[in-house]
Amino acid sequence: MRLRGSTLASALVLIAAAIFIFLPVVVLVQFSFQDGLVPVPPFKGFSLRWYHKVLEDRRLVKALWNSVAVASLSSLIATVLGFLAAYGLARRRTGWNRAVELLLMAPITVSYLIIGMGLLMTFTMAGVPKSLLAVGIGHVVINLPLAFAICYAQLGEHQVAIERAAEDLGASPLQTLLLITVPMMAPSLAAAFALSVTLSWDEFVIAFLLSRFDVTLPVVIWSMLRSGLSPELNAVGTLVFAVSVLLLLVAELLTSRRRSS
Amino acid sequence: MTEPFLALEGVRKAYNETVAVAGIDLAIERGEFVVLLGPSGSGKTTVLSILGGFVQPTAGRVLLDGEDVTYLSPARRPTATVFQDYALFPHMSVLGNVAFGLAMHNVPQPERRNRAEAMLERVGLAGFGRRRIHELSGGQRQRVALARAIAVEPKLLLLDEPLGALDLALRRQMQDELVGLQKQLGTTFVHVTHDQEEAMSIADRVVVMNHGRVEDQGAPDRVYLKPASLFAATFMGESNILPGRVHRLDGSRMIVETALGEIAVPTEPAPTPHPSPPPQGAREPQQVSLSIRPEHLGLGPAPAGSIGLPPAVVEDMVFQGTHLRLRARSDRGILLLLRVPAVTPVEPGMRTPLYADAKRIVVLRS
Repeated sequence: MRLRGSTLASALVLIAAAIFIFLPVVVLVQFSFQDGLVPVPPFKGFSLRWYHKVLEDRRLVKALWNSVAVASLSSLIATVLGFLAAYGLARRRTGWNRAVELLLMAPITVSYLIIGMGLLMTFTMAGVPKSLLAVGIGHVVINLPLAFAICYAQLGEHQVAIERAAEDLGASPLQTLLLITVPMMAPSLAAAFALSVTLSWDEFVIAFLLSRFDVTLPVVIWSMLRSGLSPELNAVGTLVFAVSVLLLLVAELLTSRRRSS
Repeated sequence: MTEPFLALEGVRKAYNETVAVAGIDLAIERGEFVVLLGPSGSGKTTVLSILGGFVQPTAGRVLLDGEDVTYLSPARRPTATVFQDYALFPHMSVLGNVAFGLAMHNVPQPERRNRAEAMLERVGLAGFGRRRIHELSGGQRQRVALARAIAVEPKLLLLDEPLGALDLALRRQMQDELVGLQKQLGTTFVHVTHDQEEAMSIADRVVVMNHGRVEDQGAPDRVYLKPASLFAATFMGESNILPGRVHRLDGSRMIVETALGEIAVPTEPAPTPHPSPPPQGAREPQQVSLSIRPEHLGLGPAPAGSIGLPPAVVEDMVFQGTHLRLRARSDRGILLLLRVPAVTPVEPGMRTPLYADAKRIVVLRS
């Protein structure tokens, strides 16, 4: 009986924690379907009008595509660079490895605000204008350490032995990389890419500091928030959230299928 | 003298201060099945890595079929390796694994597939081509690794303790299959192991290594019966080692003074160099060790051609089916290991005279 009591208690704690974490999201999603002008209780009925409004809002749609472009390109670059850094570091054992590792991981300890400010000042000095390109570069900076860490963890001794076998059978270093290493690392690469996209997708501080005319979705949402609450914002937020969840599911599906095969 | 198929000349490998291979010379003939035998840290795996091109020696050369391959990359040398942990490609099918080397050698598709399937058949895995690696047992993976390596028709096949992960019965079976395959293919095999029984059962030639040096090399029976060094005598099977001093030479016999008394060893024109007799007028008698295999000791009075030893008391004995393995303490305090026929009437505590087969005693430099 005591065991069942403790099980019950932990279930309650879990439920309370889940409510604490997910209630805001549930409220956000629920009131995006509000059939009224303000996203506050009472819930007046189900409607998709705010979603229509979002899709008709050219500013929002443009920002959405900007976000897609920045997220996918910056994540692609971060994943490729992170993988190559990890591969190079894992295959060339030198006395400097640990130092390079720390250097590559360092941005993870710096807040986005500091990174954004630093980039802003650097770009200003270098004459690079505030733009989506600048935002993209900022997102590569924050995502590279993650991509590096994810790939580096997978490039162990076992992987080395398999690459050695490929080389022994006549494969050139490039063939080994493309036919052995990359396919074997595919789950890690997909995970690194998906994680980078989700982080870039709803990143605000750097995007806000480094963009001017063309902006990403979080920046538009922020500027809309300044003129008050509207169910339209809930609808955009729900879309952003849905994309993140979808990406996570895709990444999970990819990695679990690889793991089982 | 004709050039050997594979030659290592003064090959040495050092990692900073640590010497892995301390300068070895080795000549291997075409079609030979050579086993590098030694404990871990003896440098045998480093030698194999140097042959495969994964490690470059600090000094010396490797000549394969008349070509200096010392600094040739693994991809460009006509060698293939069966790795200790198999190192199969987990994201490819069994057939994909076996065909990989052929694809890298630009063998076109229908032929590539046919040859890969023929290789699978050869190692007893016909019909397994479409399986995934993780669906195979350890023994099957071992066979895939073997098929993958021989598919590229290497001039030299390198095997890095390939049977180490298999259970005893399967290991024995794979040993026989390896020998059969090697005879069929006629390819030169260099096989690394620390298992002396494995070495004896598969090798044409055993190369015993220790501390990065070759201690002895030759046919397994020769290395076993006439080891060239103290290490070879103890690592290749069990042996009783008796330290002693060369007392004098008496015609065709060498009189050695040991803890068991004076033992007269017949000196024959042996294939292995015997210690030279003490030079005339030398003050220090030469220190030697006598190596006597347990099966070359017997219980009872010495028959003709044998050397009588001081009596000993049987301390313990183990029945091992074909023979009895027993330990006896000599009256002089020396513990001896014996292997006698299983039907020998003996029991612990019994005091018995001992004898040694004179022809089988090996004199080794200390």
